[in-house]
This record gives sequence, structure tokens and C-alpha cells, in this order.
Amino acid sequence: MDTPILSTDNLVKRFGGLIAVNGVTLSIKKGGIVGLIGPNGSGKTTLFNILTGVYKPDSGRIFFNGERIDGLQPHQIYHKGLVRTFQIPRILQKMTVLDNLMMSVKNPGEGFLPALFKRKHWSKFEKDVKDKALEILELLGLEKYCYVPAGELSGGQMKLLEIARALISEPSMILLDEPTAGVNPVLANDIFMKLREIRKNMGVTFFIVEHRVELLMEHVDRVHVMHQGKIIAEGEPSDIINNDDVIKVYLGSI
Amino acid sequence: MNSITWGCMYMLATLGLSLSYGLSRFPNFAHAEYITFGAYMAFMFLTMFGLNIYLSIGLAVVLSALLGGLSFLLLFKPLKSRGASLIHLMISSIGLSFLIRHFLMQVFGGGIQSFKIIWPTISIGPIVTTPLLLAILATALITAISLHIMLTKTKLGKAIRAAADNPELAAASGIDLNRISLFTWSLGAALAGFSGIFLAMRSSLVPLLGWKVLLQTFAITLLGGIGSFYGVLIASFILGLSENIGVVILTWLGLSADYRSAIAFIILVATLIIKPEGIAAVARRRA
Amino acid sequence: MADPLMYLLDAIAYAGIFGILSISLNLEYGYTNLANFGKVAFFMIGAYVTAIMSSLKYPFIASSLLAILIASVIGILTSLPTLRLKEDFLAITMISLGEVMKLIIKNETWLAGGVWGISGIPPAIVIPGLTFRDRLIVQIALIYSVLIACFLLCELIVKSPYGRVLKTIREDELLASTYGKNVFKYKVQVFALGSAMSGLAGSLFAQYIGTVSPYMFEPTVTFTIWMMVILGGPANNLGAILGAFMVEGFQRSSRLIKDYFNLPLDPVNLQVMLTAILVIIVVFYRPQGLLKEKIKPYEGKIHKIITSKLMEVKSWIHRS
Repeated sequence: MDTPILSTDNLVKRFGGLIAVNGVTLSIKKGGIVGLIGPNGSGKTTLFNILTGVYKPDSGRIFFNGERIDGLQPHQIYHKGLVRTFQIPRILQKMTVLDNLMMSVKNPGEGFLPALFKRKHWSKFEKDVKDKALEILELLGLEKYCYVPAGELSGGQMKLLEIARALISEPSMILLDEPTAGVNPVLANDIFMKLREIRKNMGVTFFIVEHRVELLMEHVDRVHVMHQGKIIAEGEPSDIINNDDVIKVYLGSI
Repeated sequence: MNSITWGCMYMLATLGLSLSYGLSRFPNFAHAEYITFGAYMAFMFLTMFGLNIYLSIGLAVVLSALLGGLSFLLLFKPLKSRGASLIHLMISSIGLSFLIRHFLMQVFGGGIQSFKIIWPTISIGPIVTTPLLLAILATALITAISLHIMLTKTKLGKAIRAAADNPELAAASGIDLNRISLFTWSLGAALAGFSGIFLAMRSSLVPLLGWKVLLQTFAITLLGGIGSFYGVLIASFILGLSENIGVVILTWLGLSADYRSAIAFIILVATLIIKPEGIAAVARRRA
Repeated sequence: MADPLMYLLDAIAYAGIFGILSISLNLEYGYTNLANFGKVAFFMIGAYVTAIMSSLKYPFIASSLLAILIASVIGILTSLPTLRLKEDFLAITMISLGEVMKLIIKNETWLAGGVWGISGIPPAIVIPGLTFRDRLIVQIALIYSVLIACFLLCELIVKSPYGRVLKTIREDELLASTYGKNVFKYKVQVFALGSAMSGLAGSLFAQYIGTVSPYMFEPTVTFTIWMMVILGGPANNLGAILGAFMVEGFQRSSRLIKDYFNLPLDPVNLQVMLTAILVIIVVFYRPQGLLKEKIKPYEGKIHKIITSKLMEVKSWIHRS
């Protein structure tokens, strides 16, 4: 398992005069649960956006499962097996919770002609996906909301739905952008336990932006620290917590 | 010379559109009707009320400003505060445009009118012109210079630039977006009305006066960069020049000169394909 | 004042044709949030293609198929530059397209009769020996068959995973993209289909009226169709048809007012102004229109869709 599942090589991204990502080189091993921390504005979300094709890097390369993916469009990157969630949940308010999940899966009925003519085929597929969706909803405690318009969920529930949506796609790797922000500590811990379970059963790699130290210590293998667009430290959570540079960066930003 | 005066007229016609688009984040399709409105108002004061020409123009411009300000206050601001989507805003602006245009048609009749002013020719050196064209030049020049001064030197101007760049940040810094928007909308409509008067004097007064230059105003707005004052300046003259060259080419090809608007369309589409942010973005990048 | 029955039948025919246009716009705007402000251009293309073809003595089947084809091809070509950008750019381009199309038609007399248009377009179905009223009814039958077919087609599309993707694109393009949907491809497909339907409607229109001229295709037509979709309820195909009926009725009544009230107003101006005011009021107070979008999950089978639609209509009638 020596080839990293995701690696970047000197990624740079500028917006006008502002350098958001300033030469990020990192690599993440397959099957890891890796944390990404850093003060606000350090470029974490921008990095995620670059990794998933929302932004094209000005320079640098990205490798996923050995393939170069920089320059690809988001929907292409999804099909390579890399999925991400958003810091502020992007939930489709007008659709049911169930539909929100079903949307995430590639469905043969999504082509124009198959939608019209292969109805039996995709109806069956829909049913299978629906079963899987209900399973995942149960896992996260949302099953009784499945037919509720997603706009009616609470903030915490929307965060869970956001995660459920990433899970149902069965990707190789998920980028989670602050999955537990605004969620109570017990539930937050539960979520991480579930992530570990999923890692064990499905071999999914996680790269997570997470601020809560106790979660990092308890569940995460490695942590990368970002500051002003650069990775300034990397290692096991216990080392990072005690790293002088990291402490300075966080204290400095308060 | 022709291109220059057309460029001037386009500039006056388009400034309001580009600025309000940049500030309020949607294209106001009724802007073309401010142009028509101004022209009809001047016509009304001049021929029906018998006022002298300067007064007529002045009043017409003021009324146009009023129309622009009111359309913002009564229609677009409330819609925006109700969270209307971009498409809703655009559709209601189209509705407003039809409302204004057909109202004018109802009051003034749908036919062709004319200011019936015969302009004497003036010769300045090798250039033969008329007072109308000189007035157009002068107005455009004065507008450009005063706006430039206002935008760069006055507090109001700087507030407008800040708001156009980043409304949230501007509002957070204490800038009253509503006041700025009201001012921009009114000013833009006033300039549009002014351009309408010139347009009508140069050709004739028809209800479709503004709509006929709709394409051009949008082409200029996009080419110059939405919300960019300097962009509009440059793009207006580029379009004016291109149109005149284009007309020459058209006649040479044996095609009708009506296709003048098609030139604006081509520029519009080309801008969208090559650089949708317009000239302003190119300039900013270099800075 | 012509025979009121004929007038009513004529209104029904118009409503049918505009119903097709509304459904096509509903697909583009209601489900996919595409700001097609140039609908009339594709309507016009369909009408003119049919007009030209029938003056060359081609039967309606051929001319309507060609109309559909050309309308959708032009739809694809003109939307390509803008479908990657925000909806306001599409709107601007489409309005401009309509104007340029009219310019071409007005000037190219050799192609399309210029400002005089083309007349003498024969109806699609000719049954000899019918009265005028019966011929109208045949027309209505034809138009409404096409309307129902288009309606079913759109319902099938929309009540499927494909439709779900469209709704996702409408609500949040970035999300759709992140989850593997090629947003651009979907938009182009929807636009092509919408334009094709508009072309078909234009085709029917041409053979119904018997003449085409550039003055029949003013931007007010596009605006009217938008009114129909917004009023009836975006993202609800029945709503689109309902909107078509209501707006057509509204517009006809506002023209008729002149005969009963002596207003010093030109009926056309009145109609346009009232329509404009109505749009603004609807956008202000009830942008979701009369019939709301269905959020419940759906079945794949066709007969279930039809029965659920009938249930919808029944419950709506009961409620009002």
C-alpha cells in the first residue's frame, strides 16, 4: 500500500493579487483518516475546491490513484471516486431527504434516452438505491425523515445528510469540510466512530477539515496543518498538538 | 467623426445600464425604455408645451432620473428584499419595459414623430458638423470627466466603487447601499434619457427608440465589463467604430444596413466566448 | 363582432399552441432554471420553416419535422456560448437572438417574404367538404393531440432520475457537478428539446393561421409565455397548461373590454400593459404560481404517472 491515494505537487492558486494556496505538496495514504487543520483563511476550503476541480490550479499537479486529475472538471473527478462535502451544507431544499441521497448516485436513468425508454431498468435500480439510502439514513439516525422536504431539517441534521450523501456514492476517498461544526460533541464523536467503521468495512480514505482537538486525537491517523496557503506541519496528532510552530500560528490568529 | 458621436451617444445610453447591473447584480431590461422616455418627454415639453429647448431637455432628463429612481424604489428594491431570484428580477424588468413603452405608445401614438429641428451646418476647419453633434460630444465629454472626478475624488464616488466591487463588504463598512443604488439608478436613467433625446433628434422619435439600441447597450456593457465605468467608455467607442466599419462592409457586400445591430450581436457573442468579464477584467489583471 | 363560438374555438386553438410553448419553457426554466428569453425566436423559426416548405409544396409532416430539427440545432448553437455562464448571460443572448432573427427575416425577402411574410400555408389535415367550424375543430384536435403528447413526454422526463438531475442543476449547479452530473450536457439537451418543441409549436401555428410575418413574432410573445409559466406554476407541467389558458383568456378579455367599455385606450396597448402589471404582481406576491411543484417521490411506471396526475387535478378542483 505504498502508492498514496491522493498526492499533490506544489499546488498554487491565486485570486487577483491574493495567493490562496501557495505551493501545497502533500500525500495521503490509502485507507487513512487524515485531518487538515489551520486558522480561518488559511486556504483549506480553497484546497478542497482545487482538489475537486472547482478551481483550476495556476500551477502544480494532483494525482489520484496514480492518475493526474488537475484540470479535470468536478463531475469527472467524482467518477474517479473522489467526493467532497461542503462546509455549509448544500442541501436541495425542495427535494425530499431521500431524493437528496438518490441524486448522488450515478443512475442509468440519468441519460435522456434511458430515462424515457429503459424505465423498467432504472426503476429496479432506483429501488436498490433506495434500500441502500434507507440503510445509510438509519446509520445516521435520519430514516424517519426520508420523505420530508430536506429544507425542513435542522442544521445538525443537514450536516448529517451532507455526510450521508457522500457515503452513498461509495467513493474511494471523501473530503469532509468541517463535518461536525455545530454538531453536539456526543454526536460528533459518533460520526467519527462511524467514519472509522466505514473505513474498516469499505476501505474509504478520509481527509477531514476538523478543529476539535479531542476528535483529532481520538480518531485521526495523521494531521496536516495549513497556514497562509502552505502546509507548515504534518504528523501524528499528538506531535502536532505540541508543535511550537502550530501553536504560534493558532495563537497568532486569535 | 461619425463613429465618435455614435460612441458618445452609446456611452450616455449604456452607463446607466452597466452601473446598475454591476450594483444590483441583474440586467435591467427596462433601461432601454428610459432612453425612449427621455426622448418623448423632451418632445412633449418642446412641441406640446412650447418650452424652449434647453428647458425641455433639462426637464426631460430630470423626469428620466425620476423614472429610474422610482423603478428602483418601487419595483426592484422590494423584489430584491423579498429574495427574488435573478430570473424574477429580469422578468419583471422586461415587464416594466413593456409597461413603459406601451404607456408611451398610448399617450403619444405609435407612429413616427420628429423633433422637426433643422440643424445648420458648422464648419470647424476640415470638419463639417452641426450643433447637435457638437452638443453630443460636449455632453459626453462633460459626463465622462465629471463622473471620473466623482468616482475617484469624492466620498460618494468611492462608495459607489466599493459597493460595485463587493456589496457585502461595503455594507459592512457602513455604506448605505440603498442610497448609493438610488443615486446610481437615477443618474443612469438621466443619462439614458439624455441619450434618447440625442438619438431621436438624430433620427426620429419612435416607441422602439430605446429597444432598437438594446443590443448595443448590452454589447457595450459586456464588452467593457459589467459595472465598469471605464469599460463602458472604451467599449462604446469600439462599438461605434465597429458599427461604422461594419456598415461599410455590409454595403460593400450588398447587404442591408439594417444589419447594423447584427454587428453588436457578434461583438456580444464574441465577448461571451472569449472573455465574458470584459475589458475591465483584462485591465485589472494587468494592474 | 364575429361569431362568439368561432372566437372561443380560436382562443382554444391558440391556448393549445401556447400550451406547447409553455411546457417547453417550463422544462427549460421551471426544471432547469434556464433563462430562455428568446422563446419567440424558435417559435418563429418553426413557423417560417413550415411556411417555406409548404410554399415548396412539401406536406406538413416533412415541414414540421424539419422545423423541429432546425429549431433545435439553432437552439444548441446559440446556447453553447452561454450555457456555461450564469443565467443572465443566457437571457441577454437570447433576447438579442430574437431581434437578430427578425432582422434577417425582414431583410431577406428572397428567403422569407421580408416584411410581407408568407401566406397561403395549407392546413396540415385537409378533409374536404367540412364547414368552417368543423375545420376549426379538426385543427383543435390536431393541436391538442400534439399538446398531450408533449405533456406526456415532459412528464416522463421529469419524473425520472433525469428529471431529478435537472432539478438539482436548477437548485445548485455546483452540487450537481460535484456529484458527477455533467451540467453543461444536461443544459444543452434541455435547451435542444425545448427549442424543438417551440419549433413544433411554430409549425402548428403556421398551418393554423395560414400566414406568417415578422410582426407576429414580437418579444411580447416571449414575455407572454413566461407569464404563462410563472402564473401557472413553474416546475408543474399542468400548471404550464393552466397558465396558457389563463393568460390567453386574460389577453383576449383585455382586448374585448374595448367593445363593452368605451375606454379611450388602444386594446393592444391595454393588453400588454395589463399583462406586464400582472407579471409584476405575480412575481411579487406569488412567484411559485398557482400549481406548486410536486415534492413527493414518484413511480416509474407510465400508468401510475397518469393516474397520479388525474388525482392531482381532482384534488386541485376539490380544493378550489
